Parts: sequence; C-alpha cells; structure tokens
Amino acid sequence: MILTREFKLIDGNDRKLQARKMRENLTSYNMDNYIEPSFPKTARYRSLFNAYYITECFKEQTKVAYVGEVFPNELLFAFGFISLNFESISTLFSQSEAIDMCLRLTEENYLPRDLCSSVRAAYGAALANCLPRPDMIIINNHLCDGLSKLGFQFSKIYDTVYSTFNVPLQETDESVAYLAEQFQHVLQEIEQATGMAYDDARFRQVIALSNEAKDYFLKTIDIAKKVHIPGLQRELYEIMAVNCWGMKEMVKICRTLYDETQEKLAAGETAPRMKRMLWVGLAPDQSHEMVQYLEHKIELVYWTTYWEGNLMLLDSGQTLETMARRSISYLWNSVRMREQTAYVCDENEIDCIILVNTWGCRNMMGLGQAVREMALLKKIKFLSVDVDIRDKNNYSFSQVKNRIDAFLEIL
Amino acid sequence: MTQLFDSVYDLHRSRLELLPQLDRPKLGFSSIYMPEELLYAAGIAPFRLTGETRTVSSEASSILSNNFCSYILSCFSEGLDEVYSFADGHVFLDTCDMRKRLYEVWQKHVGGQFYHLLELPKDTKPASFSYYRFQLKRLLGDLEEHYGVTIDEEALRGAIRLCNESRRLLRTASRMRNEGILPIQSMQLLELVKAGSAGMKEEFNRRLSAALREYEGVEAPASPNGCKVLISGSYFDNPSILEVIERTGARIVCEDLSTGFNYFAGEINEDAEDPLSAIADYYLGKAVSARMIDADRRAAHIRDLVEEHEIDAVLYVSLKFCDTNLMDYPYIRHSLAQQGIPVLFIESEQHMTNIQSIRTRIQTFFETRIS
Repeated sequence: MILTREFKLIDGNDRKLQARKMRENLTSYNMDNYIEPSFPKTARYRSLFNAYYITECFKEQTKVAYVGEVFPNELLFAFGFISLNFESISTLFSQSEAIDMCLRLTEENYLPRDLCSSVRAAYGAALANCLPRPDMIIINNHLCDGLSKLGFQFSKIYDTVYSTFNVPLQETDESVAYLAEQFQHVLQEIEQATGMAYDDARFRQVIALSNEAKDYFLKTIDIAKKVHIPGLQRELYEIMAVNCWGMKEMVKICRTLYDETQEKLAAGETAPRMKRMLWVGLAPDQSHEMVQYLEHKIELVYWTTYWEGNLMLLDSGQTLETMARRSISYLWNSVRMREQTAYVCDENEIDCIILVNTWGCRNMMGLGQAVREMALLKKIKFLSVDVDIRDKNNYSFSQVKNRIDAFLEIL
Repeated sequence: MTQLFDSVYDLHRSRLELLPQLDRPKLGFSSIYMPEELLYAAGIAPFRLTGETRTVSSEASSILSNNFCSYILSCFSEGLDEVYSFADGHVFLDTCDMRKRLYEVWQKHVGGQFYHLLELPKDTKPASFSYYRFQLKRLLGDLEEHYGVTIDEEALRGAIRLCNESRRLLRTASRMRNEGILPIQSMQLLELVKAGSAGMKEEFNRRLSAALREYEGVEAPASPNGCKVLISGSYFDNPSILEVIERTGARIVCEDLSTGFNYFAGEINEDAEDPLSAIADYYLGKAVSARMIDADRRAAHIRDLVEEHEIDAVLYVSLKFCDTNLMDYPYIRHSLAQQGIPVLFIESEQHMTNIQSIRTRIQTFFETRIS
C-alpha cells in the first residue's frame, strides 16, 4: 500500500523528497538506443529546456499544474505556471526500467490492468512519489475518459485544488461560446488558487509568443512536406510534444529548427525521397525498437504533428474563442479523423499508413475503421498493429515485426 | 398475484414483439441519461438497448475492437443482426468514449432514418447546465423537423408526469421489496426497470400500479436477517452473479446501477416554469455515474445509500474494459473503507457463461460476513 486510508501519499508530499525519488528511479534511463540528433542545435536546446523545465518543477517556489497533453497552456503561462501533462509523464517513465515498478504499483493499489498503460504509468509514477506536488490540476475530457478520471485522482492524492472544463464535441457558435466561457472561469479559478490577479497584458504577451513560435513551426512544416531531410519529421514531432506554446523558450526552439532546416537546404543536405509512412496513433520515444526499425527503412511522418489543432494560430482579438476552436478540434470523432488524416496524406504525399493501436486506447481502436476507409479510398496501403509502448506484458516486438516486414515487402 | 408482476416483466421480455405493433415511431437509446420525456412528448416510443439478445459477434469486434466493453459490443451485435429493424433510429449520448464510437459505427453499419448524438457535459457547473439545456433544445428541434410535429410545453409537462409516475412506482417496488412485502429479488427488480424503459411507459405504469395494489395492506414480516448488500458499477444484469450472492443468504437491497436505482432516483419538478430547464436540471443533476469527472459526488452518493440502507458490504461490478468504472474503483474503495464498508470487486463480461472463477470469491466474501 502506497496510499493512506485518506487516499494520500504515505511518505508525504514534499518536493525535495519527490525530486530524490525521481532521480533514484530514473537512474536506469535507457541510453542503449541513443541516436545522434539530425538537428543538433535544436535537439540540444530542446533537451536543455526539458531538463530545466523538470528541474524547476521540483523547486518549492515554482507553481506547477498538471493538465492533459492538449490543454491550452497559454492560460497557465500567463500566471507563471509550469505545466506537466500526464501523457509526457508516462513517456518519460516508459524510457526507463522504472516503468515496470510504476505499473506494478498501480495493480497493488487496485487499479485494474485492463486500462490504458499510459494512464496507468502516470498513476504509478505518482504512487511512487516521483512527481512534483502540483499547486493545481486542470481536468477536462481531453483526450479520453481515462485521463479525466486520472486528473481527478491526482487532485485527491496530492490534496490539490482542481478546476474542470468540458470540451463540447461539435464546433458550433454555441459550443465555442460555451467553451470560451469555461476558459474564462478557469482563469478565475487560477486567480483564486494562486492569489494572483489576471494580467491581460501578460496574457497577450503569452499569446504573441505562442503565435511567434507556431509561425516558425508552420514554416518548417511546409519545408518538411516538400523535401526529405532525415530526422526533420521526428524533430517536429518532439517539438509538438513539448507543447509549451507561449513560453519564450519555445520560440527559440522553433526558430532554431527553422534556421537549421534552412542551413541544410542551402548546403544541399537533403536525402532522396523515401517511401513515406504515416504513423497514426500514440508514438513512443525515438529510442523505441519499433520506431528505430521503421526509420531505417522508411520516412516516418507523425500524424499528431499535423493535427489541425497543432497548426492553428490564435486570434489575438478573439483569443478565448480561437482557443476554444483549437480545443474542440482535438476531440476525436470519425469525421474529423477521416478528414484530418486525408489532409495529412495529401499534403505529405503519404505512401502508406501504420495505425498503431495502443492497448486500452478505445478511441484509436474505435476510430481505426475511419482511417482504414480513407486509406482504401485513396488507395494508400494500410497496416494496423496492436502494441503497447508502456507495458511489455501486452506486446511482443517480434510478432509486430513480422507483420511490418510483410507490409514493407508489398510496398 | 405474481401473474400481475409477470405482466409487467412481459413488457420487457416480449418487447421485440410488442414494440413493432405500436402505432408510433420507435427510437432506441443506450444511456439512462437520455431524457425519455422529450421522445414521449414527440409521440415516440423510446426503448433502451440492452444487448441481451446477442453475445459479442466477431463482426462487431472487428469493426470496433475486442477491447471494448461487452455491453457496447453486444448492443452493436444486436444492431448488426437487425434485432431493432422496427426502429426509426437511435439517440446516443457521449456517456463514454466507447459509446461515442458506437454512435458512429451504428450510423454506418446498422442504418436508420433518425440519428442524434446528445452531449451531456462531464461537470455540473452553471455553464454546463445551460449548454445541456441547449443540447436538449437541439434534440427537440431535430425531432420536430424529422417527424413534422410540434412539441409544446404542455406535451413536455405531460411526458414529465408520465416518467415521474414510473419513477415513483419503481421506488415503491424497491422499498416494498426491501421490507419483505414483495416476493421479488434483485434480478426481478432489474427486470422491472428494464420493463420501465422498454418504450411502453403508459402500459408499464398501469400494470405495475395494478401489481403493487395487490400488496397494499400486506404486513411487512419481521426484519429479515442477512448481510445487506449494495451493488454499484457498470451496466449490469447478470442473473448468475445475483443468484450466487442471494444463495449465500445475503440480501441485495440497493442496486446503484443504471439498471436499478439510478434509473428511478429522484423526480423532475412538474411545476417548474420552464419544463426543458427542469429536465436538464434533473438529468445533469442526477449524473453521479463514473463518467462524470468529479468522483466525490459519486462517492458521496454511494455513502448516502450505504447509510440509508444500513449496508454491510458493497459489490463493485465493472465490465471488463469499462474505463470509467475501472478508474473510479481505487477511489471508491478508499471512500467506503473510511466508512468501514468492505468491498468486493468483480470484473466481468455482460454474458458470462462460466462464473465458476468468481463464484468462490463471492461465496467466501459474503458467507464470512453472514457467519
């Protein structure tokens, strides 16, 4: 048992202790599959930023919030918060042997193993007391049921205030107004939680930074669509996953990538066009055996990078409304899935699709048919594989590899 | 007297023969948060999908996934097998991720003329009540347009009275069962609920009311002994599990399920100035299921039921892959532990053909409490 009778961490809620526990548990970080970055300046800057970010989270004076991956972080950055998302926590721990300990803890604490392992991994990391105590948790229905329930349980484990909002399924004027109103309410709840007054000038500055970074990101994406520069698609994915739009460091990361890309273009460091495979579904870190195997044979394009919401700029005149439209676009349904995937395929001249069904991800499993239909319509080769990038009990690479090999042969 | 109850159960058991004979459009639904009042007000017979008549088919699993909850897959299997071919269509709710996916594949693979996805917010902030009311208004508009009817306030008030009457009758049946007056057990109570949601409410009210009248004035026997049990969790209608529990001598006195108490809890304000707001207030207000973000409301709701019924033990049942109920379990378990209430967790499929594996756990859990 890791939790007390009152559903609190048995060994306390102190960030110094939590930092020590994280260091202890992540000593077995997987460096075997280290890959020399193709964009060294960007990768170095991004890594430094990530390290700085995590270090800051454990400092007593830092304001930390937990959110879902596609939460509009600009709302938090306007108050000087650092945000951590559940999915990235899972990814971080999945890169180390600590993942097994995290998953074991969840089962010992009554979380059934039929749930998605991304959710279980983050829950396990909290149970292991490896995460910094949050000052606030913001919960909503992105991207799935499991994550919203996880957010609530985090608020109980850490005895932290939480704020909720509900993202409507359809984009209509009414639904956008409803969500914008809720964002306004979230801002008020942040004010109450922190005792800080909302500063409109600061918020506008954050929005400007968000758009500036996104502008570089979009310009680089335009290049990536047209030419094959090894490593560029992965770097774009990594930057998207950082999801710190609104922080000045994000501008620097995106600008650096754009500059490096331009330098490579000028130096003729492009590669002959390879077959392009669209990876649809949750993607693991680059050291994962499946990613490594595929990247030697094909150019991988990550579907999440091109998701409509990730390409949107915010309208400074109607910030909360455009933020609402962006949030709604992240809620999956079969129409959006079909249209968005078709768009990505067209824009990137995709040759084949791999649909990666992660164990327990009901949305991806249920929406897979929509992607398959789109692929059939466009005569794009399609492969669906069941994997688990967190829990090795649910997945065997050798079996998946056989299917991938057979698929690549027919291309 | 049991014949009268049989006539009520018959509304459920024979629904697939009775519903096609009704001279009105029929629409299916899968969640108890679907306001039946709106459909009755439009002159439609709303019936609940139960997934009882089919086990999970390989076609349903291949379109959705093997890792979907068996209730969703069984309902979809029924749809694919045209069990509900008499229906005009269906109204779905975004109750969980899997039901959202069910809405999409149903539309594509099952067919029908009328489809609607009703959004039920996951929190209960004032803005969410307004938005949910707007969603109800949208559904009304779609019904009016499709069926060429006008749904006025009076029709809504009439439907509210009709559904409230069903709720009152079911509450009475549940109370009389617990007092030992009605000779029915848990499975029969669940069947009454199913009969109440089979699309024939007027008839249901008439028959159940007649059946209950027969027991008016019957003295309650001395308080029966036995461990008092509350069941909470996913969609549940498994007679084998209920039978195993009741054979241990334990008494199930509260079914905190969508097929039990949660269907007939509370009432809609019949005198409200705006009936649509009253419907929105009722359905979003009573949403204490695992699909809501705030599990504290659910925990408090279960604690209240435990106190009200003087519960000795809780059976927490979750369908395999039911994410919301599985996620809630650790928290609800802790909450009940603080009250000193033991919990037995059972993860099952809707159509369990072999319950031997869990029979021993159930027997051990309840028999030790009885002794």
